[in-house]
Amino acid sequence: MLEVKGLSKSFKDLKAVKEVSLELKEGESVGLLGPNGAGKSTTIQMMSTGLIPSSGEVIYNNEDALKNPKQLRRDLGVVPQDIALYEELSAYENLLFFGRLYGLKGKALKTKIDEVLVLVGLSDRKKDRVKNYSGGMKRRINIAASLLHNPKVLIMDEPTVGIDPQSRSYILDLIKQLNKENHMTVLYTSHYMEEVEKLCDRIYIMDHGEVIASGTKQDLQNLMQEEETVWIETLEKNEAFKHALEDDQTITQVIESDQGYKVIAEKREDLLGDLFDYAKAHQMKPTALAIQTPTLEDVFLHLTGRKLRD
Amino acid sequence: MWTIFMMQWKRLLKQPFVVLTFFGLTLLFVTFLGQSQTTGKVGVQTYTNDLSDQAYTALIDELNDSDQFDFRQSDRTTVEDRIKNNRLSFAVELNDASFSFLVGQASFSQPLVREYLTEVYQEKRWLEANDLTASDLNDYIPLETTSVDTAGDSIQYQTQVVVGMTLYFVMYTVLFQMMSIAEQKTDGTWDRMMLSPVSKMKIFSGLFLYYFLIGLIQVGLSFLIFTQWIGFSFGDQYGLLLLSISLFLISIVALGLMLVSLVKTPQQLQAVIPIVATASAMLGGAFWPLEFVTQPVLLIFSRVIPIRYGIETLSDVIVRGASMSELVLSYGFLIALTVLFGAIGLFFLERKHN
Ligand SMILES: Nc1ncnc2c1ncn2[C@@H]1O[C@H](COP(=O)(O)OP(=O)(O)O)[C@@H](O)[C@H]1O
Ligand SMILES: [Mg+2]
Repeated sequence: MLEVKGLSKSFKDLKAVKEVSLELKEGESVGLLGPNGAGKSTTIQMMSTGLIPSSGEVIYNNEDALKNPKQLRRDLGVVPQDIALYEELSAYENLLFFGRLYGLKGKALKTKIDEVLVLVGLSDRKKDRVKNYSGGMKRRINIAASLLHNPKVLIMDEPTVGIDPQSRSYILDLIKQLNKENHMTVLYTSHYMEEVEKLCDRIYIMDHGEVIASGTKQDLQNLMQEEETVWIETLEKNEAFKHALEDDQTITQVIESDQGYKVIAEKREDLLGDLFDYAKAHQMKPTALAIQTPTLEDVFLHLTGRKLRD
Repeated sequence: MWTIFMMQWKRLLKQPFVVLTFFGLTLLFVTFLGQSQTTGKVGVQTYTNDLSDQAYTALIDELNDSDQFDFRQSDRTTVEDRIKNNRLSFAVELNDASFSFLVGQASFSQPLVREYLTEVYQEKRWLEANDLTASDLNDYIPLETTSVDTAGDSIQYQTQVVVGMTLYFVMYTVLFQMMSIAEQKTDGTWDRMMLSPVSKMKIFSGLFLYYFLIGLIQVGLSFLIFTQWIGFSFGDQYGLLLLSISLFLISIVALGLMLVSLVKTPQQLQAVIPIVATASAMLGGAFWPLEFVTQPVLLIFSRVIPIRYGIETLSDVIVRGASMSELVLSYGFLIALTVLFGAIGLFFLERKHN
């Protein structure tokens, strides 16, 4: 349905996006996962014809959308990363304006506004000025403004950044509903892997301007077939233990967290036994030791050697 | 286009302070400066030796036809006293056939008074010699007197103040309104507009029309109020008046577009606008006549400043009743500047986006 091929974008010397290709099939929910600065927003902007690529193509329903952006713009809803609303106006007034930009008017527009307000759960606050809203409410109106014209494709750029957990789960449910019940094709961008895991049928992982992996969650986890993720739960911190693990040739990663250590290592029979031995050797008593299915976080770590969040 | 246009008004109504402030400042400054001139007459104390009360009063009335002086009746002892006490620098003795000065100390205005009186007395003598009255005189000789000249100067000055201040402050209004483009670009609402199916052309037309109209309304209202408050007269060439204002405003919108395209953040623009407005007002003759600027470099610079042509054309229309053909050159400059600024603005706005 919507596809980009070999998309690149340079800002002066910085290559923000390098040869990115991705595709949205009708009705799909696709995730674009990557750390801050990976080039997600830049990719999305080009995909939605808001930014002209240095090279590459944007194809919508077999047509070149860069030459002929009208059709795509009509069918596309974009939820920008920042709150793109007029803060001095009420939510209702904002929606009136953005609806009119899409040619809606009169009764049809009013009905549609009421509908999206119900959808985002803000009907009772619609007359308030946006600047008096909480972060989560602003985010929701920001989404509502992109839904007025019944978009076929919805592109969202980190729609849950910096909001309370309640608003966050509300938004995630909303997106799921739009995708499953309203059959909207969704591209969801985030650096929160749990969200992408929960929402998306297919996932692209970006880093340093490049797509470094793609596929279903299963496909991505299979990338780690050769490796095992082991969770060592403990409240003690033991530097010597950690160093010993890191010095082990078969162990690729050791990540320390508040509740323990996560270890990524080559798959082998005696891995757990070896880990116990390391613990014993350093007088450390783990409360639990378990093999885990790799998360997307682990996949990212595996691919880049870095954590997603920092 | 109308959606965009109407939206700007709606937003203005929610935040009218900037526009109201500059409108208020226009009124304040012009009223202040415009009036200080009308009360700037030179007071002259007089007494008489041989005139009857009636003739004396009539003469004083005649003398006070001048915009420049304010002659007052007094008597010799009073003025002598005041001169002795240094409370008065000079007084005039007005007699039937001649006048003379009673001078305590040198004064800047005394020669002006002498010149004026000489002229009036000469005229009087000539009229009496020919047995005519003043009203007959108007039919025969177009009399060029100092009083007419200075009146011309003061109209010139007042026009300078009224037009200069009005255009100066309207620059602020328009440019600060245009700051919202820079704001919308940072908050993302600009992208929302650009990503809608509405064409760029229509978006820009809607915005342009709004900026133009808000400027036109401010100038129009200011001028209207000045005719009421300080009795300012704009002549009757409304067409040329409107044309001059419009071309000026269009060039300011183009200037604004250029500024918006060159800055990175609204904060930068906020800093740049007062600099640009004030610098161009100084170099363009809004604060003082352009004749005061003698530096050749600055004079060359003033050629690319819209407000210069705005003031020039409006003053010419108001003071001299200039015709279209006299203004064409200035209009040409204004249009050229508009094209230049607009082209730079659109070029950089586009380029930044790509
Ligand atoms: N307009 C711009 N000018 C210069 N550099 C930019 C611009 N937009 C983004 N970048 C840079 O491009 C890189 C990718 O940014 P972005 O696409 O916003 O990443 P993400 O959305 O994944 O966090 C970053 O290094 C960012 O600083
Ligand atoms: Mg981003």
